[in-house]
Amino acid sequence: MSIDDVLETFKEAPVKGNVSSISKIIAAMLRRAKIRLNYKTWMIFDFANTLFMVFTYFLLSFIIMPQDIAKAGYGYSYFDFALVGIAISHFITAGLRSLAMTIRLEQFYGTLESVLSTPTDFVVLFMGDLLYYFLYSLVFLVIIIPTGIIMGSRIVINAGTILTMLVLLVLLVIANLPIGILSAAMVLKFKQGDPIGWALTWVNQLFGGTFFPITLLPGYLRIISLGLPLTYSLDAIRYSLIWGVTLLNSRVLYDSLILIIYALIGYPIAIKVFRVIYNNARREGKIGIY
Amino acid sequence: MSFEEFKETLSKEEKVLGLKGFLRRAWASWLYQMKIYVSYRMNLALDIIDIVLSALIYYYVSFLVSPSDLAKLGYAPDYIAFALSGIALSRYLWTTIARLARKMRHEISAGTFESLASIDYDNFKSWMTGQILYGATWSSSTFILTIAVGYLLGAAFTRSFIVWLQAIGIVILVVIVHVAIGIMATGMYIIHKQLETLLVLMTSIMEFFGGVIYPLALLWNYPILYYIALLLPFTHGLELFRRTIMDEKPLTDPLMLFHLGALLAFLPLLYIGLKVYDYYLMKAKKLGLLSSY
Repeated sequence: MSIDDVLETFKEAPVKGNVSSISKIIAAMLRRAKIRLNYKTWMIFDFANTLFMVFTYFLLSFIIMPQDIAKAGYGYSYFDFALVGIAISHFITAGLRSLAMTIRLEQFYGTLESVLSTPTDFVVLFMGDLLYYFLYSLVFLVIIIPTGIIMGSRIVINAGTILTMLVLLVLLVIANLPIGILSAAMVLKFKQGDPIGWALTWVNQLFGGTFFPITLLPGYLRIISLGLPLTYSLDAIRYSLIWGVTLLNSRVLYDSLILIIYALIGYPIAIKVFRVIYNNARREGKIGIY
Repeated sequence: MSFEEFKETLSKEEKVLGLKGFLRRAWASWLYQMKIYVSYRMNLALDIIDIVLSALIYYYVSFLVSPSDLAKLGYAPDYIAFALSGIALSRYLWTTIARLARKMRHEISAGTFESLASIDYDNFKSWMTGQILYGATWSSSTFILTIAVGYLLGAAFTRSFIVWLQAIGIVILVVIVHVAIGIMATGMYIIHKQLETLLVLMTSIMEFFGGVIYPLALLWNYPILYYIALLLPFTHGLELFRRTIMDEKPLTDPLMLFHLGALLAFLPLLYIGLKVYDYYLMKAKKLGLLSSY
């Protein structure tokens, strides 16, 4: 083949395979799952840690005065309150940090440039990773909630509340994802671990009401809480599981609408910022640097 | 310069030998690690934010805790002091224990561990001493900051200098016992590679059974769990520390003497830890596993 022939082949349109985007997302999800499943010990310890956390808050609930929990509208059991917070904490990580973690890992192993050079859009690859983290978090939920019930939690589990919880969990991840995208953009730009995602995890734990109702915060700090999607997700999931109500309840519905608004406003901004940083990194040839 | 002259300069290189040389190398090992840490300003800032935010979480949880229930279980009715004393000590130990194993993992994955371990044994030991000292510096700073944030949030820790001296003595004793576990785990890490995850689990066990954020007396309702808790050195260390800085109890108090005796019983672990470490290091050298990860 002459040099001209070779040059000619570059001009041809790339051959598109018959693999659908859905199949690619599932393949990306399986790829991440296979990598993570290699670290079985780590996975077992992750579950064990969470169970220890459940036991710890179960014991702590014996010395908690339930008045403030009741005043916030979550019944009289601190254990129920904390159990829901612990059970969904992994979903927050999925929404906030999965994209940044994926980019950082690929950057560190020197594979990011190759991955982004393939004809498959990085959004597809990322969706696969996100799906993996979502399912992984779901396994936690499926283990933690029954454990809590065995230990005496009186949260209401029926077809209606399960369906409501699933919808709210999807909304939780979707509403937090724009922040996750911004965090990933920062990883791409500054080549640091994941400082924003990491800091936001703490901010969420403090202001989102994971371990105490936000009504305990003074007014000026509650403004921060009201700016976080997690506050609405936790409120809706807790309210639904504690009182056995579904999406049709006005409080749960209100929280869900706020989450949708977050997503609608957040995505265009986050994607725009990510694209600018991503394109700059490509132009400057800095994608592979870490 | 001819090759012969060059060789001559190598043989004339002056080495500082003995204890002075050892301390100088340990100091250098501590200093370079400190310089690396301080150069990551973002991480430094996030570490500080981490301490402040976690203290704030327990500050707000303290509004929910019943002071009379805490008093009924034998503690001063101040949950923020209770929780932050537990968090400060558990973090101190966690960072001290995990520090060496983490450093080892870093050197192994960066491919520099083989070179470090291949130098003469005294040099390697001084490097390791510097790393342990760095870990202690970092842990102590975290500890002091957590306690300082506690004071700012109104935790009723003791203000007596003499009582704090007793508390510092207890912390040193607790650290010595737990560093032994860290050294042992680091040695095992050289061969088994995944032991850092075990350290994470150990910390969770330690925090759960030690009663970091709940009073240990709540475990009386679950006798098996209570007896397991008594088998851990951390449980005794935390009880000693907490009752010192919250209740100003002297070491002559019968309850304090019981916990002190139990903690001292774990001291031989230090000797065992060093032996286990030496054994695994030599084994890894013989098997050529120093750089595999």
